[in-house]
Amino acid sequence: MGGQREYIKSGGFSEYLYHQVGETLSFNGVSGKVIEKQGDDRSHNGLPKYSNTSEVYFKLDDETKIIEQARIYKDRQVAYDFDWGHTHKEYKEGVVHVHEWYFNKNGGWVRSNKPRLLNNDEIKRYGDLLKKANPNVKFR
Amino acid sequence: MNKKLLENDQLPIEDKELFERMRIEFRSDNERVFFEKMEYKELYEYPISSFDVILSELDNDEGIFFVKCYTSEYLIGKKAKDLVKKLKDVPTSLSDALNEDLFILLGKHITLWEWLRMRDFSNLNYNYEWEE
Repeated sequence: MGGQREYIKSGGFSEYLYHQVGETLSFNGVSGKVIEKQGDDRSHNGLPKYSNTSEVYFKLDDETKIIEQARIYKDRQVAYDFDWGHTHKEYKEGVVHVHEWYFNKNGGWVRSNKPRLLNNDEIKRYGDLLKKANPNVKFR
Repeated sequence: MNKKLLENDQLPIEDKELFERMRIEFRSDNERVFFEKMEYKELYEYPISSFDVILSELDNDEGIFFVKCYTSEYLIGKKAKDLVKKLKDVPTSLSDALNEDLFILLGKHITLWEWLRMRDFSNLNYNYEWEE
């Protein structure tokens, strides 16, 4: 769990910037870990760009300490963010919305600022795990 | 990594218009610099995990923080000792962020833009270490 600088393509990291909080959550063969970054007082952090072995990492809200985000990794690199801890115009707090990560036309790895709802395949694969992480989440 | 090659291709329309307008309508030199720096950040600096702290809660008496995430999403909140309070709305443009009402943080109706202007954009940090 770390950034570009610490990432080792063949596996692991030169330095681990995050630590796990509590037990690993699992449902129907998909598992995820709640993790936190070690930081100083000035830092404000999200989840890492790269995972170690997990497909899913969860983030706690700074204020409530309730899980507010799941980040999905493909081949260890962030692919989707499932967010529900905040409101974007049409998506109210508590409703899971998806931000896809993609290479922009210039090759930068960016998160789309145009979220969408979970599709049926995503609900089937991750829905129960998300409910386990936070029973109050809604998908529609 | 060459930032110029990684120009953000999803700059919000309202921010394009805002940056254009504020090249002329700035009220102080610090405000002019703020918009210049924020335009650059939205174009070329987009944090993935270590967010860009434009204003730290440690650098103002009210404990307000203003943090840029990803290309153009903004966290606005207040942090004092163990207390953290954030606006539930996460704007997806600087334009929307600046128009957020800080009532639940400050107990009075004032937008982020008005509050920043009151302070003449002091103690803001524009240095961000690109590591991702």
